[in-house]
Amino acid sequence: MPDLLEVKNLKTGFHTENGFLPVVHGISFHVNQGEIVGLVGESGSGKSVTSLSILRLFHDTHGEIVDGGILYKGENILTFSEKKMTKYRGKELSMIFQEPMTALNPVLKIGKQMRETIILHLGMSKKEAHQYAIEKLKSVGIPRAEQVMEDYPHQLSGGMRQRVIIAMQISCNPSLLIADEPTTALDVTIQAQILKLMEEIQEKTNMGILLITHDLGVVAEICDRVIVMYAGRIVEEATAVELFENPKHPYTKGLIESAPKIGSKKDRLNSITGTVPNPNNMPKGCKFAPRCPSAMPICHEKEPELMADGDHTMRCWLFDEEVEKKGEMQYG
Amino acid sequence: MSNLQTETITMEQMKTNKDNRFLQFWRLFRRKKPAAISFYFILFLFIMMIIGPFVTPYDAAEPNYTSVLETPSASHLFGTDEYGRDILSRIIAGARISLSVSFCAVTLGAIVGSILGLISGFIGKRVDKLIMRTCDVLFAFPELILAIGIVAILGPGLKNVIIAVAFFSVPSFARIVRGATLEVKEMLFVEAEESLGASRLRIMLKHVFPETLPTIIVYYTMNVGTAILAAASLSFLGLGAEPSSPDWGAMLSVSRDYIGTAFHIVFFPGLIIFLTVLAFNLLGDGLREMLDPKMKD
Amino acid sequence: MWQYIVKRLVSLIPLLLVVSFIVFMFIHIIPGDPARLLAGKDATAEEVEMARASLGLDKPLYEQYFVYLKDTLTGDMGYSVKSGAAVSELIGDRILPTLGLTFLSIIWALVVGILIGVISAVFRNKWLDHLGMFIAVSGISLPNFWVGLVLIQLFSVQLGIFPTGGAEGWKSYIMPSFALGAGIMAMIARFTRSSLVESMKQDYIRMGRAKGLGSRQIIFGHGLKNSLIPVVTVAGLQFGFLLGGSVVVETVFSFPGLGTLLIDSIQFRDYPVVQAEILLFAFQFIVVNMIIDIAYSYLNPKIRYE
Repeated sequence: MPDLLEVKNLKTGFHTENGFLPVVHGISFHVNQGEIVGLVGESGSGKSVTSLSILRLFHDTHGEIVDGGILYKGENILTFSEKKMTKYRGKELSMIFQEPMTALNPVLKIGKQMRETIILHLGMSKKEAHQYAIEKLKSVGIPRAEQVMEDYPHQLSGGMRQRVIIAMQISCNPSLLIADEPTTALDVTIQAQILKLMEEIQEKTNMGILLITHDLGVVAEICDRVIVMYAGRIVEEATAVELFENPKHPYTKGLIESAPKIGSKKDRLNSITGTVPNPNNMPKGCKFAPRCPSAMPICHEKEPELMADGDHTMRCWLFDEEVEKKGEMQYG
Repeated sequence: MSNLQTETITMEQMKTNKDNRFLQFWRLFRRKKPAAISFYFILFLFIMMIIGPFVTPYDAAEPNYTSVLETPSASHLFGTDEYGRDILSRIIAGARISLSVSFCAVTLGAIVGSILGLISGFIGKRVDKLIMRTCDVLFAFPELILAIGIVAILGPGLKNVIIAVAFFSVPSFARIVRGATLEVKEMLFVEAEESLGASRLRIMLKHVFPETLPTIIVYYTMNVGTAILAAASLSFLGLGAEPSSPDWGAMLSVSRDYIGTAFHIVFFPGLIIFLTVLAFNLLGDGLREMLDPKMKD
Repeated sequence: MWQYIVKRLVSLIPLLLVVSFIVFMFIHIIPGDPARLLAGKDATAEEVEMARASLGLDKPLYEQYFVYLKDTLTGDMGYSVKSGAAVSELIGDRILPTLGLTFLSIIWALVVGILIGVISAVFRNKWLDHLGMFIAVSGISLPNFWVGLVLIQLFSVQLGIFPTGGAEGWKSYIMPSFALGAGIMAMIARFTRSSLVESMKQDYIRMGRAKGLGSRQIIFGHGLKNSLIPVVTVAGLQFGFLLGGSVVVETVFSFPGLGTLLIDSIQFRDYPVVQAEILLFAFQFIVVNMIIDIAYSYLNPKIRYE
């Protein structure tokens, strides 16, 4: 059986008046059925663009996927027509966004926004869809679901809205859910509740979840496997346990050291100096080298490939055998 | 992401490139085709305003009863009117009247409105309230009705048209400049100057006013078009220029009687009003995109 | 909601008082003796004195204002110098055609303006957008009296489809309402476009896409509804433009409405009529804007449910 989702050599970028600006540089990864995979990185690492690529959500922007493949249950969705893709969105692949405050249409009742998806994908009548929507709202722990159906978004709290969005996005039983920073905009206590809810849903439905976050605390909480991205590239990938116990890439180490406690809203990492390089002005060699405490001369010259150590992969000259032999090695 | 965003010149950019900022502005401006063409058209109108009477082949006022109501031909490109006068020559002569009336009116309105807006935004409190409430009252009258009312009080004539049109542009200038002033006031250097004890008038003139200038320029340009239309409307209604003068609105007013018999004398004066107003509106749109990123879509 | 409406109505009172005071002052600002102005230019000395006494012009200004206010509220707006008829009657005869004309104009302007705006926004930066926005900027730049004259030439003189003027039958409303609505249509088109483009950038639009909604559902079900709320406000503000324009357009078509009455009265120095008309125009504008405000708060659930 093919993987639920397999991303192969994905290249995405934006058209600007100075030409094409690549943001995601040929990344490959997969998500299995029943697995929660974390995609971690600072803002500007290309993780959100990756998630948008999977649903091909570049309408009204200048974004474009220029190369690679995205295989969903073995089918390359990049070859789909927009019409076919529309049928998959919300039904097969679903997505939750960061801002529950703005992701719901302020002038439409929750009920209308819930039913919309259900009628569209499950072909129910309005009445059936209404009942079904109430059930779904109840299943994500919304009390007084009947009442909430008649409410406008601004009448609900942020946590409630995120629950509504989750209910909406799982209402058609998608096999893959992409959650882009689903808890970042929420209060600490609510964050934990939402994560727990997602874990429960995953256990119940056995769907695959791709969780995009800058927060390693969130990852530690619920992820099975973790992919670390930096400057549009994957720099390390391992199971969650392995990654936290035995991080290899200096960037991952930095992330873990500076990991804010769950609930912090910080999007910048204090223990790593500097910022993510501007896509307009990428360093030669390893993109992390300018910020890396263990950078070697070669790091500034040549970009390392992904290297595998069993299930653990990393993109760092520190783990290259050639470099090791030359004795340039200097573990930091 | 989009072209517009990066083509917008921000104030900071303009400051850092003080030396060549005009050149830079000009280069970006020329890329905006409709605005650039409009600019050349307006420039052309201005030149005609100045040299018009010396280059037109016919006298704009002298009747010629041998060539009454002639349709457009090689000798009279736009035809002749009921007194045999060349319409093209009259339109060129009329540019002086129509454009100067509109410019005077908008300039007057802009100066008074901007001063009120600056005072209102900068001083705030009661003065602000008083000025803004007054504007609200003026806004309660539809623009043209206000102008008609003023002309009804002062009597018809170009001078009064200028006053009337200036009058209705005052409150909108005041509002826009007040908004811009409030924003500038938030900026750090104004506070810094204030803490250094600079006088209010000095801060207002040296710092606040220059920062609001782009807004004023954009709004000024857009208002010239409105003013031309309003002045022409008043003349058309018989409340503005003398019916015998080559003012564009007055020409149309007289031409009404010849509709059906000599359509060209209706057509050309109206066309020139339309093209002129269009040019000012397109120029205004172009300037707005470049100078005031907040106002565009 | 009701609280809001009541608050809004109450806030209107001072504005109406000030506006009525300004209009009242109209007759006193005009150079010359108000009694003579109100009695008419051909009045004899006795008639002038009669007018002075009957209008209370010898009393202090504030007293006169209260009399004026009371009379206006009871529908007594004085008598026309020209015909001697009651001003309220003169206006009463003219108000329906003008209301019909403005109503027709705003309706077609809204329908066509929104349509062009939506098409332009959907095909943003494509040729259809450029065409739509060119039509719009042209519409704003067109002198409405010239449009009227060109229409007369085309459809009355050459094709003989519509009458050149008057207000008899629906046919005589077509051309005036077209000339009158063109400018507003253009402004609505521009505003609808920018408002819809702005809506389409919102998170809920992307969310809608992620839900699997098609472009049509996205635009009409989600984007348009949000962007039309501010369009309503703009349409209200432009109503003043329409009232002013009606004076000019009515003149072109010799349309028996409030506008032609106003111009005739100004030319005849029939000041009681002019004064009443200006008050009426201002009043209409204020009332329409208030209705729009309330409609806006009704359409926007955030205000409706405080």
